[in-house]
Amino acid sequence: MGVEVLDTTGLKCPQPVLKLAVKATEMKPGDILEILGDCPTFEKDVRVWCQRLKKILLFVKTEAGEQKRIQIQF
Amino acid sequence: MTKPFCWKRMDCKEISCPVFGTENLKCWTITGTRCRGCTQGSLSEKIIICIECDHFKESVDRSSFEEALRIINDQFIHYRKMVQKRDEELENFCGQQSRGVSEVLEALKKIASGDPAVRISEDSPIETIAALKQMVNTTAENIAEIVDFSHEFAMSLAEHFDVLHRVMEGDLNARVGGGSGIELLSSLKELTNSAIDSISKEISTRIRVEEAIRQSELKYRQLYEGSRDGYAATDLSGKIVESNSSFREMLGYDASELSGLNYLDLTPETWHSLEKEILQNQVLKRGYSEIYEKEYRKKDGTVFPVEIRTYLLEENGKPRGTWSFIRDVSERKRLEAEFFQAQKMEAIGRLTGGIAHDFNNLLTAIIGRSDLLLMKYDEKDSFYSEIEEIKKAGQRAASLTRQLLAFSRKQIFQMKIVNLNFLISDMEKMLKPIVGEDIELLTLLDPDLGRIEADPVKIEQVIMNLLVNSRDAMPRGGKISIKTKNLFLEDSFFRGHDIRPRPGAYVMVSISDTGTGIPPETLPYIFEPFFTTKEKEKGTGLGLSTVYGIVRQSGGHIFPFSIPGKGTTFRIYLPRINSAAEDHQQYKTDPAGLRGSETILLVEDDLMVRNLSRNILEKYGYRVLEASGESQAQAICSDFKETIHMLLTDIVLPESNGIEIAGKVKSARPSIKILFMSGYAPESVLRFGIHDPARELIEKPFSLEGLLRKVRERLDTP
Repeated sequence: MGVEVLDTTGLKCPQPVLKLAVKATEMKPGDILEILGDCPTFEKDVRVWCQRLKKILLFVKTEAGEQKRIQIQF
Repeated sequence: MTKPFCWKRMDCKEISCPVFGTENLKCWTITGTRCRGCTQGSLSEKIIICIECDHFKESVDRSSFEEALRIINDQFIHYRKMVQKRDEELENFCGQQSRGVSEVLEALKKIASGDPAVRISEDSPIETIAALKQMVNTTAENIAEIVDFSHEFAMSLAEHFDVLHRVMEGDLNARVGGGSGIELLSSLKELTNSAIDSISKEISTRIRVEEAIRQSELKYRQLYEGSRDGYAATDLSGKIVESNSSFREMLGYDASELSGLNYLDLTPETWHSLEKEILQNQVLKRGYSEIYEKEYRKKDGTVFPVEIRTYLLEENGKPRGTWSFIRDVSERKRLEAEFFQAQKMEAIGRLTGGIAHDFNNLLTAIIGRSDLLLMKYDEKDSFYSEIEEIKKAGQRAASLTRQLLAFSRKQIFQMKIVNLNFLISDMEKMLKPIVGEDIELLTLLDPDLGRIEADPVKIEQVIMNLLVNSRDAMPRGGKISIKTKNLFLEDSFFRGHDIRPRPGAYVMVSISDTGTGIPPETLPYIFEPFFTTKEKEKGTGLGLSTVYGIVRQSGGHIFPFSIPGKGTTFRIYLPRINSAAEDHQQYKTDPAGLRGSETILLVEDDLMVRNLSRNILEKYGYRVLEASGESQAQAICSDFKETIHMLLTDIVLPESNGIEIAGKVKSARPSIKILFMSGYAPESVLRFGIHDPARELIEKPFSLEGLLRKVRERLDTP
């Protein structure tokens, strides 16, 4: 079980979610994905994605500027 | 002088003015005109007109000049105020415009950064700014709608992607969830889920079908590999292309060796024409053959019988090869031969038993009469030796009859619990001189050997007969081994026919020699009476038939195994019992104690036997009351007032039988001893209710001594 990082900073929504969707296919049950983004709707989009695809959102951390760091468990 | 028409020059439009359009000009400086307050035209222009106006020049005076200056000053103040007001208004306008633009710019900036949720107040005194802000909000709303739309699409796309990926990974339960107000997305969801349903159904069906095929394949494979029957497939040239392990084991080849062979290589040539005929007339014509018998040749050259059925293999309607089921029927053939042999032996046994019984009565008379005659003559008398020869011939005939009865299993056995090890050990001293010095005699006795129930004397006879045969098979010496062993024989050992012994615990005794062996063609006949390969004077042909009869009558079985030139082994299987063996006893009767004085009621329908018996018994002191049947016996029983010590009666009588007579006599005279005589089989005797033939029965033909000893024993036994 590893922690993978997906950096979507600079990408406008909904591109981060589309990136997340592709990345998700590589993840196995129990794996953790950390995703970085700075798009204004980034957090909301990831939350909705987790809810619809039944993934566990571990935490959302606001960092410098608009950047946010979100961890998801598969 | 130019008459200045101020109203003309000024292009005055004040038609209500009293001086408008008059030629009677009056300067505007003149009171009463409206020119002073007139706002038309610019002051400077008016002043220039006045300066150029002669009338003005003429009429101007200090007061009017001052008036004019005052008016000009008023005008100036008025204008300055106007300018100030304008400045204030302009400043206010500029501030509001600047703030409004700033708000708009800020909102546009947020929208541009991807946040269309921004909204600004649409209030502004500047109409343009208000309109601009309204436009920004409307634009933000429109962009937000587009962004929401794109998010909805993206989210739905991501979910579809996830679901399809899971389906591809094998999760047939994955379905697109969530609802969408976008008709295209909700339709796509329905379409995707319904496609997955179809795929899932299809895959489930396929999995079920594949599982069924796999199970079927497994079952087929197990049947194929686990079958005792062989299976082999050939191509059209007859080359073996596939075979199961049974077929390979049957033939002794491994798979690689077999794959290069043609089935004709495995078939003895005598069967080739039949094989070709069956292939042409049955397999190729209708697709399969009847089950037929043929032979195969093993790798080691051994030929063995099989049953076979061949099917045609076709591909696209064209013959591609054949496949066959092959059953090794060697065992069945062997059992059939054994069964036939056993039936033959039973038939011969019944025949010889019947003949021997009839002989018994005759021989009883011959031997008995000889005994009586011998008592009448002196040993030196010439008749004496002739009578003795008659008796000897009779005894030899009786001996042959006994052997025939032994073969037909109609001897009286004195059954005892026997330990074969003791019996063989006791015999060993006696056997060694019989086999001679050139033959080594080995005994390998299982120390834990179980007991059997048998007549030890008869078993000794069996061992002796076999040993003598072994000796005769080794004229130049050799080795004889006698082995004993416990065995539990499985059902498979006796698979086949009911004539085979029941499965269970047995004691095996085997006698093996290294002699000449028995040719296979002779082996089926060795137990038949009078079958002998020995010279005329050396064998009667009854030795092995006696052995066979004794073993079978003892509930056992005997199997010969022989390889010509190598030797022969006889294996005897006798049912094991749980009782301890009786002490090995020798039952010797004292000849001196044969006489008696008791009264015996003799019932015998055969006059010869009755007379003989009476004569013998009377000769030895007994008092004999004779009867030929039941009525006479009963009459004697009631008329004779003294004690009758014994009833000696034949079992089979014309009107009645000995058992019934015994019953009646016993009820009349309870203390009477009963002794039966019979030449019939022990099983017949048992049928009549005699439980202990060894004690209660004397077997015909009997010798003088035999009768006297049996009578004495019966009288002396409580």
